[in-house]
Amino acid sequence: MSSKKIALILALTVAGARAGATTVSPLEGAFFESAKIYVVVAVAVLILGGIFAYLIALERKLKKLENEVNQRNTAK
Amino acid sequence: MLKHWWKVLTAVLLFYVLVMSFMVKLDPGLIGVDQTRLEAGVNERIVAGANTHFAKAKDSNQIFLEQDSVYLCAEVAEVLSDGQVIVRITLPDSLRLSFFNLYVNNDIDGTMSLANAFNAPEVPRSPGADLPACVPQVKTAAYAPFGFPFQPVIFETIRNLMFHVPMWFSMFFIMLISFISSLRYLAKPSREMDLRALNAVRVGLVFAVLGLVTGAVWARFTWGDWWVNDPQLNGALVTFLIYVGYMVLRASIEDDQKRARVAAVANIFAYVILFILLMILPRFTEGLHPGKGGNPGFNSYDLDSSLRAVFYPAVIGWILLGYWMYRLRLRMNRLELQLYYGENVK
Repeated sequence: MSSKKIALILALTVAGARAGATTVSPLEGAFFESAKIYVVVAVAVLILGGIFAYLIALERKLKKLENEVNQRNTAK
Repeated sequence: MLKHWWKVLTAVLLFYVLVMSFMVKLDPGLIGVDQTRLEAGVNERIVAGANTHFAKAKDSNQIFLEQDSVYLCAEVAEVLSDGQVIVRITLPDSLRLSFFNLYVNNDIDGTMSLANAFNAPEVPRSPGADLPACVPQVKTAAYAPFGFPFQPVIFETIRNLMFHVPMWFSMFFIMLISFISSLRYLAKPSREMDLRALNAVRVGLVFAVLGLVTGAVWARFTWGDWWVNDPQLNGALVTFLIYVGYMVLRASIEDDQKRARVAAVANIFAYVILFILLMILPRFTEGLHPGKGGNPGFNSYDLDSSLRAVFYPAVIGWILLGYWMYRLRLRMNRLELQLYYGENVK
């Protein structure tokens, strides 16, 4: 049955991608198996990553302000 | 603490959304078959389902092919697992149409369908050909679990509704703050209103980028490409570029007063264009993105109660988070100005 299973997985990957690409890379195959749950994981990770990146950028700006305040205080 | 109730609400809502988005099961449905092509005579094919109970439902599994409201009964050759079943399909020597829809039902999952599951291009076609028709038994699911609806092609990615879509709601809301601030600036010029408009656009752009990127990933695995030529997608990109243009415009004007005034006018136009491109135009055009020729986004027809129970909190939660981010950015900007220029804005 294993060859049939492999055939199924292949068929599903192709079926999932039939709207566009004709060839499917192993990564995309993993995305289409398991009913595409990894697409949701990727989307959630992208959003969290984006918000964290924004927080880091914000913190850098804050650091600059803090340094400025500290410099002025020591200059006094 | 009382002052910060809405931040607590934000955290609670988004925690609930994250947990529910991943924990709620998807309703059972058919994903695909191992080989779509059928020939005259006996064919054996594997049918795959998600969250189905082929093995548990044992002898109650029934398979039907359908074309033009005529049903062809198929046999269950072997149940491989809860998610896979081998079906035996016997086709006659001639057919009226070459495409078949597939129906599988059992006592646990109810009736599930897969449109255009099979085709038989090589079987001769004759208009009078009759299928050895049988009468299908419609079965309803044994229990109605609280699950997200199973939709063809979308499958599990229906959960992206709680992530991708609220990004745009947040952007809309934050840009609305910016729009109102610009209006108020023009009514009565003040540094504070200019600052609010600017920082709202800054945070709104973050959500626009997140919306575009998550949309591209979803599109890749649903429509097959990172970007498709659809009015809603192109409108979103143009909107994004207009707000980038707003930032460039600000950076290019030296004089403070002039910058604030020109930027406020540009910002008002930007919001009007955003509204036209994302809310009005897509309703009158055709495209892949949901919500064509009617409501924008998934409409009430697509949203069932289990999706609503997570989607509405998600929208409120992400909007509040966006507002929170905007407040932080605004306060920091005020501090910056105070520090470098000695201006007390508030």
